[in-house]
Amino acid sequence: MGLATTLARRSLLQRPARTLLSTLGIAVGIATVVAVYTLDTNTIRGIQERYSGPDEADWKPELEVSPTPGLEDPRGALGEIEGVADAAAFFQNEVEVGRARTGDGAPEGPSSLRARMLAVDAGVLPSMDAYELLAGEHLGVDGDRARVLVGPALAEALDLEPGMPLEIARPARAAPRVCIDGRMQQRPGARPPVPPRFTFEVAGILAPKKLGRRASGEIVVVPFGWGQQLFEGSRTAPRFWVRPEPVVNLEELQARLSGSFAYDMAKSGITGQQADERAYRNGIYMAGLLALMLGLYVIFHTLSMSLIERIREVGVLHALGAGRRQVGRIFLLEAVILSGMGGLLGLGGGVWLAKALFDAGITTLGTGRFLPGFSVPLGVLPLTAMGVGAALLGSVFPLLRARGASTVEALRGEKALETSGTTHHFHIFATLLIAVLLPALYFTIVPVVGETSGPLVGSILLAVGVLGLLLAVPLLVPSAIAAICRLLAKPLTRLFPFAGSMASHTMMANPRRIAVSAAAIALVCAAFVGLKGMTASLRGEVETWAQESVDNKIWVRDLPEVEFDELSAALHELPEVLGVEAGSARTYSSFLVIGLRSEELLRYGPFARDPELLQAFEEGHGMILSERVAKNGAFEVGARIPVKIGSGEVVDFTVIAISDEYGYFPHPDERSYGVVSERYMQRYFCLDIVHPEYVSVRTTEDGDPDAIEAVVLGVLGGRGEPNFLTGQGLRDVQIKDIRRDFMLFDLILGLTALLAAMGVLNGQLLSALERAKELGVLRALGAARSQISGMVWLESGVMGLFGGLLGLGLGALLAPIIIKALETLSGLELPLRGAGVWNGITLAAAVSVTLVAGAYPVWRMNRTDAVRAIRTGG
Amino acid sequence: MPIASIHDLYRFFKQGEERVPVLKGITLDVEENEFVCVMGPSGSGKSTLLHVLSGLDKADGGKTTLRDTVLEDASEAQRTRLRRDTIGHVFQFFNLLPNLTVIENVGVPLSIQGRHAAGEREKVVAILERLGLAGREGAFPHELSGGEMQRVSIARALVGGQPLLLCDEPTGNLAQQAGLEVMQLLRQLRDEDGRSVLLVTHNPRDATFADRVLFLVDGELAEGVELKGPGIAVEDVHETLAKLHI
Repeated sequence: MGLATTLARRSLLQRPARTLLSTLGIAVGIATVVAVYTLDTNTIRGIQERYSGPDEADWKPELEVSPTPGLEDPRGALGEIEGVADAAAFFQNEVEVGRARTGDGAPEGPSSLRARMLAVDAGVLPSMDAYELLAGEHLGVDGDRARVLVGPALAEALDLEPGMPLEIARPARAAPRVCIDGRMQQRPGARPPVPPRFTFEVAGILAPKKLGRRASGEIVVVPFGWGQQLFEGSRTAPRFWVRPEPVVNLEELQARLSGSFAYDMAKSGITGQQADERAYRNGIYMAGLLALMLGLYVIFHTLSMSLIERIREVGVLHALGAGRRQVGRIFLLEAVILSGMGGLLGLGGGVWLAKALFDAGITTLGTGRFLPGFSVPLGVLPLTAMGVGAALLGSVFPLLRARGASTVEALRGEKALETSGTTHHFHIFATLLIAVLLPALYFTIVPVVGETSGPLVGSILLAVGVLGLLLAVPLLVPSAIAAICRLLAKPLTRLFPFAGSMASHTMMANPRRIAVSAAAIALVCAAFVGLKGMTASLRGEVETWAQESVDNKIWVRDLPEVEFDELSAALHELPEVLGVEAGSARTYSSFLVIGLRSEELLRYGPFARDPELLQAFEEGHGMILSERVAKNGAFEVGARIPVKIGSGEVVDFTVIAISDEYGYFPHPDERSYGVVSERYMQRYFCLDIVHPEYVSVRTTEDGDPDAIEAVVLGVLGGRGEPNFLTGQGLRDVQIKDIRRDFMLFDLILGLTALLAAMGVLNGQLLSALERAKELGVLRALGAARSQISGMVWLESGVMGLFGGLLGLGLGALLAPIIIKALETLSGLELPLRGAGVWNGITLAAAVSVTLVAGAYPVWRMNRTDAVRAIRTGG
Repeated sequence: MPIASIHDLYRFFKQGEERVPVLKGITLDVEENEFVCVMGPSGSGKSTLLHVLSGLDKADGGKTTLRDTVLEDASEAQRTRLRRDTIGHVFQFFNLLPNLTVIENVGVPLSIQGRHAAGEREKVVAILERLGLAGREGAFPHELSGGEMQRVSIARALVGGQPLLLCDEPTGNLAQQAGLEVMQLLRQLRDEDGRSVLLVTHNPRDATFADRVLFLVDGELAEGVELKGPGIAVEDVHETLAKLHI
């Protein structure tokens, strides 16, 4: 075994606690970022899969838009909208297709089949990733040639191959009926009696996935211009598939589109991209970074503490004739082993943690989501490499610096080393590495979720800056923190004179250890208090929102067939009932649109305050927007909201009020919605407004849920099993959800608390080992074990107290900034709330954790042989 | 031909803005198979002299020659190689690697030279036996007495076969008897193995083992004051020290 291996092995085995803690520090840091990344990737993939299915479903574009009537150049308008990468015009219709007749008679197989025709901009189509080819080639950029892509089922039925001719014609029969003016009817317009047939060349056969699955594979894709020729004389108003820029703020894009287009976002495409989701996911990524930074901070602190010992080893080896490379190799090997073990443990642990959380329904978009599948993304490898690399750099840098110049000083003793500048340089290096390089690398590998807008970048820079500052200050100017700790210890010196005075001296003698440990504790406390302040604000937001839209309400769903008028009349016999809202007449346009009967809304909300709104609501295409949709889309009263109606046309509604008082239904929980008169829903979508399956009953404050339940059950006369939910019950569920959703943050912060505790433990342990001789002398002078233990406990407790207090102060300062940033990012109106009782709990936990972390060093110190310690110093 | 030669050596240390001379114009030769002792009080520059001679530290003036190589002209790599092949170090504070056993510590120079310590185990064990450390091969430094630790340090200095031993207060941390044994051992290495020894010490008894004793006072060798051995009496050393007010 070579010298490098022997030294590395012995160094790791002779100091098992240091080895274990260093490895764990790296491992826990890496595990956290790996877990966060793996969990988030699986969350997004799982939700997308749930919406679209892995392979079975038809393809949908991320964004589909319909121009408002009168927009002359929709393609040009789209091209000018920031955030739109590509747009492809398209329309669909039914066609008859058949093998082209050759000169010698009829083709084999069926002469013609009914199929779906999709006319689309051929040049842009490939960039949409809308299809895959089984055979042949794409349509080509110009789209002038009469070429066609054929679905797999159609190709099989007609025995088609690329290069073969294919005849396509408009069908002779009437097109499907659409909803116009409240009735299902045929679209008006003349139709030539005998549709012309066009011959196309089959360019390619679609694979049975994405667009190839549309219309069960019986589809033909033709260039947009050819589609228009096929349906010449018919109305072929194009819609557009839009591919947004890879990183775009969806709310802002929606707001920009809403002026001229009605739009429909594919759920799978926008998963995790909504404002509140982005804020939540970015928050989790930041928490992961915090853990990694803290993990490396602990390691570097450990390294810094054992630097003098290691530098003496370097000095001896150098004096014995070892060259720079040999010395470098020796310490590199040890660092590689430590970092490698930490990296492997972190990688494995992180993946395991992510899987466990995923299986438990805990995701990066909240809890209670049980999603299909689980896979390990490749991105975990660069993340692990980043952690290992940083740990490696931190391990090797000081030793490389120390290899030559300080050999003589190393052989002379510690004091000379302290002035050598090596320790100081190491701390500057560690600070730059942790506070600058690591976040930069991290956000390169794990880009921020969503568009890197000003508020988002500002929030992240602020968070990283504060973290960096908190880590840097104790490394660079530790004496101030140690002096404050000493002041805190002063009152205790009266109670424990020996332990108190010794602890005070030790803290001033080794301020960096004290400062680093206190900063680690402060960091976790600040993050915890900040998080609790944030959840308190979110809870406050729910409570404020609930006062408008949830309180004094009872929802009844799963109603059997019952007439709304009958139900409403019965309920209105109760004096406390103000109105009954039917929630079944709903459609998703750009957002959820619900049709309500205005007569039920007169006694509360905007109509009660301003009865004149009623006319605009009923006759002027008025829409009342919820607060969230208004804020996200930057809509104000008077704004136009284009809505694509059942016939495919677009109708403009006008915002007449912004309020959450009407139209909220918890199933599904959707706070982004608009309310219109139910007669528009009937007219434009032919929805049933007579027999609702879902209603909500608004009451006065003294409304009795039991009385309402009795009335509803009375009307139903034993039919069906309706579900009742009260406003208070819903408010409790929502607040519980917030608590549950933030469990993941609590978990990550728990891991960072573990790291901080490890830092304290490691620091105290190394200090105890370094001071073995001093402790031996104290024992020889008659100090009892309890007195020496008391010294460590007191030191630990003071560090915890100071770290906790600093963390609380910092958390209180940071909370408003975090909440403001979250407000900007999520579009929520967040009231400013403090962490309340959690301040006390956090402080108590900080002191407790440091006291517990002091237990092992105390145990080790009590085992030290005083005689040997005096004689040999170890 | 001296194995080590120092000519008009100067070394300054910085104290704040001031440059304080530690060695002032030292000239000294150590011949093959010669035991030279440099005596002087604490802070007189004894250890600095050894550090410069071993190439660990650089002189600010003068010329240091080790086996025909002028250290001032040599690269760091050359100095390291020369130190590895020529010099064995014996330190006052032993400087054993705490995580290695006795046999592993002694084998370190062999590993540094690229020789497999395992293959040379017999040689290492023989040296340990010769130094009275038989049976202590597996012990860690903290399990040894001071005398044992210094003997391990000497064994480490010998194992690579280096012809020049630089000993920096080798008995400074040892009890009377243990110190005496170490000095007898160093003399034996000069007499029986033909090694050269340069010893720096402030212990008059240790000086009696040398062939030549020089006195370092305030960074300068006392001119014309030299004791010659073998068989230097300790009283003569005391008398010279008194004359020099050391």
